[in-house]
Amino acid sequence: MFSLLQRGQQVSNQAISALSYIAFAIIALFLAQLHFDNAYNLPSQIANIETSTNIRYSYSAGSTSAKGKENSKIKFDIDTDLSSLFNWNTKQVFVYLTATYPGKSPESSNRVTYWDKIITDPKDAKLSLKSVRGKYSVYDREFSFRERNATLALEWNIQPWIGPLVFGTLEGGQGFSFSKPEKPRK
Amino acid sequence: MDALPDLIEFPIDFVGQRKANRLTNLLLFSGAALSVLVGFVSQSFINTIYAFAGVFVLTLVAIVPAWPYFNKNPVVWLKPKKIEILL
Repeated sequence: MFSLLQRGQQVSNQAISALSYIAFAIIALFLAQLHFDNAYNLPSQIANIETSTNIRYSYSAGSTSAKGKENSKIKFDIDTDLSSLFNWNTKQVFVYLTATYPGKSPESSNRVTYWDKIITDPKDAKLSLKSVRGKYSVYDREFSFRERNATLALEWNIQPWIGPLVFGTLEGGQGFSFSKPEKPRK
Repeated sequence: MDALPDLIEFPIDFVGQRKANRLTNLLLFSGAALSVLVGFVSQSFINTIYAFAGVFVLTLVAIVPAWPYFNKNPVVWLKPKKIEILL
């Protein structure tokens, strides 16, 4: 601390240490707030699920042969309030609707995303959407979904200003089964 | 070229160095705690950053210049003895 330069360096170094403590404090408070706001057990309602299955032949629909590929689409209503996912360290929230169904082997499980939304403003955190069409046409690695039963659930992912990404699933998942393809197989 | 580092040296005395070190830690770490509190109470991440930036600038102003406060105990050197040169 003898000269001007040494004092400048000492102050900057200690400031960087202090910033790292600030970062840890913010992350700890942010995670604690999510816990106390009950963010991991938020309710949601998914209703009026309509699915349709088509056989499509284009490469972009996952088809790699003349046989084509079964593509599943969905229409649904959702009603949920994600306000408690927003606190001082939340930059944005990514909400996505997934279907989880058993895979080819008994112990495996597949998950596909039908729809998603990015919420950047806490004012938009209350979702009440009617007759939404899924954004994505979904296909499996196999040719067919084989009319399996699936669970439709809303999941969320918080992207914070600093700290780890936080993932969670909303309560209120709904079961459905993939419908038979509308067009008969060739 | 050796003159430039000497020109901007602005030294402080030993007691002043201890004072400066303690004051730096006090200001920065209590300021950090205060910034987190400000951000938490206002529920705004950016307020924490602004508050800490303010604390940092304040600390720079308080510590970096050679304030007279840091130069109150100058080192007193012994006076040189007269040496008689015997011829």
